[in-house]
Amino acid sequence: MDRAVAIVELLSRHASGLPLMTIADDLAIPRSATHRLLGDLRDEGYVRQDYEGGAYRLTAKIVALGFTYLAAAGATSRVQPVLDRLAEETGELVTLAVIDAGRLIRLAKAQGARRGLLYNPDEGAEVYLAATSNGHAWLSCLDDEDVLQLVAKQGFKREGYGPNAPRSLKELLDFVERARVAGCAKIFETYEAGTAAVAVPIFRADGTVPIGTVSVAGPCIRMTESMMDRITPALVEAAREIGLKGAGLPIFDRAEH
Amino acid sequence: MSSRIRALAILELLAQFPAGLALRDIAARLAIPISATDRLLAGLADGDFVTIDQGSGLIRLRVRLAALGLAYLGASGITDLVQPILDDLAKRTGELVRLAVVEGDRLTWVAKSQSTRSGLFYTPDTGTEVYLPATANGQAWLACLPNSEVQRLVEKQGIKTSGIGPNAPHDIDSLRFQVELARAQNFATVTEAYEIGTSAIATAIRRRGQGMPVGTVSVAGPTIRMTASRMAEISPWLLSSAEELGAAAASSPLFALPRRAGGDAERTALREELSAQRRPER
Repeated sequence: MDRAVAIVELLSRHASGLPLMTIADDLAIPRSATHRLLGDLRDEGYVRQDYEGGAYRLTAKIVALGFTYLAAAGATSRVQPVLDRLAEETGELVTLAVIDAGRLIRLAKAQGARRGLLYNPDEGAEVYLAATSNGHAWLSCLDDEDVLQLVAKQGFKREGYGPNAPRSLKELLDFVERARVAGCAKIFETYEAGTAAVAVPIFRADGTVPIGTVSVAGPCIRMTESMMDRITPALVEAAREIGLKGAGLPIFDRAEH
Repeated sequence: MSSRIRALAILELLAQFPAGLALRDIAARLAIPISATDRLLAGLADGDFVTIDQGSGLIRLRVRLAALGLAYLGASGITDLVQPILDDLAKRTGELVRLAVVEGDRLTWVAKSQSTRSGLFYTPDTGTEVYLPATANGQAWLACLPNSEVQRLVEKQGIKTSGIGPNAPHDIDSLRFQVELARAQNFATVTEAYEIGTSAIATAIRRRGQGMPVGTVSVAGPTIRMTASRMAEISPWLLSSAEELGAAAASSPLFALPRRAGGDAERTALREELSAQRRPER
């Protein structure tokens, strides 16, 4: 990968910043070259140092660049309002993930909780399929063979997630089957202790090919099963609306599966 | 941009053309030789950042760039992102930088950064609520709202006729003139309006750079330094800081969208009223 982009990508996973030497070692770039690259990135406003010799951190420029793309792609005007409305109605965290070349990528969020207990997980761009509501919602559109293939490709982890995360592939297939039957994927303390979420797939208006998923997540104390049942109709409607208004946008993979 | 980080220039360009661009188009726009552009694109394709659109054959961004920004936004606390933006602007201007957020019908001070370059400071003694008619922050916010809202908010807060700077608007008509000016410029400036001897410039922060304002950011200082020409110099820096703040604000509860009875319908009506005001019939 391009060195400058690799540095930006690395720093995006380390919000508190990294020292020059760590960046150089991690990416196997000579220190002198790393120093020049970081100087260029600082001049262009991508990174900042809190003090001379301190750790390098990303600025909000990469975030702004992402939003420039989403706005130009029409997602800000056509998809984000649907997420904002769902967040306001539910008072919880709404996440949109899109399918990109066999992976599920978190692309947009809307936080509906204004105060008090607030669920705002620090998570990477790619959705871990086996233990998230978004992951289960996507998998529920596929047959068991494809489910196992995708999960194997990503790597199935038996530890590091919530107490109710599936411990075996058999348990995972049970989760997926329940989501198929219910038409939505509900998880309780599966991804993270103390949290729960419900998600549904997004389809193109014309078909059954999933193009993404949308979820509502919050603290278990509020996101009970009966709360999910109240939320689900609005969630389903939001997914339908995104499929209708957004399917043609470049944020959704146009490759046929 | 340095040739070492040209790949980022390509990402910046493609972000503006989500449908994609042809190779020679990218090369021409960035003045990079076609062969070098091709190599850079291969590197970006390796990293899953770009792809060739199957339909059009154009090179376009994949969602990875935007997802990376979102992940970073989630990982960094809002204060981690916001305070450095204020600090940078304070350092650059040598003046007091302040951030206010919209909360319902009020504008509230939440953060500031003071550069210590000079002995003469302006550290205003204000409460938590921004006095709308005579502050640059207040006027910058009002400039985003339709006239009916301007009137309602100002009447609700009340216009002071004493205990305020010599150039403070004393009635709604003189305020309206200021607000019109701010609309036209995309930023508001006040000179000795809030307090004698001080001046300020402010602009609105819009979430993701669009839509209704979620806050304002200002640079304030002694009038002796904050002259009209100095403010003109500062204004592009201020606008670019506001854009960065708008990005940082996107998923933050700090910048809650103002909730109103009527919700979306009312917001839509407000927007329509606004766009009508921006394009007066001639």
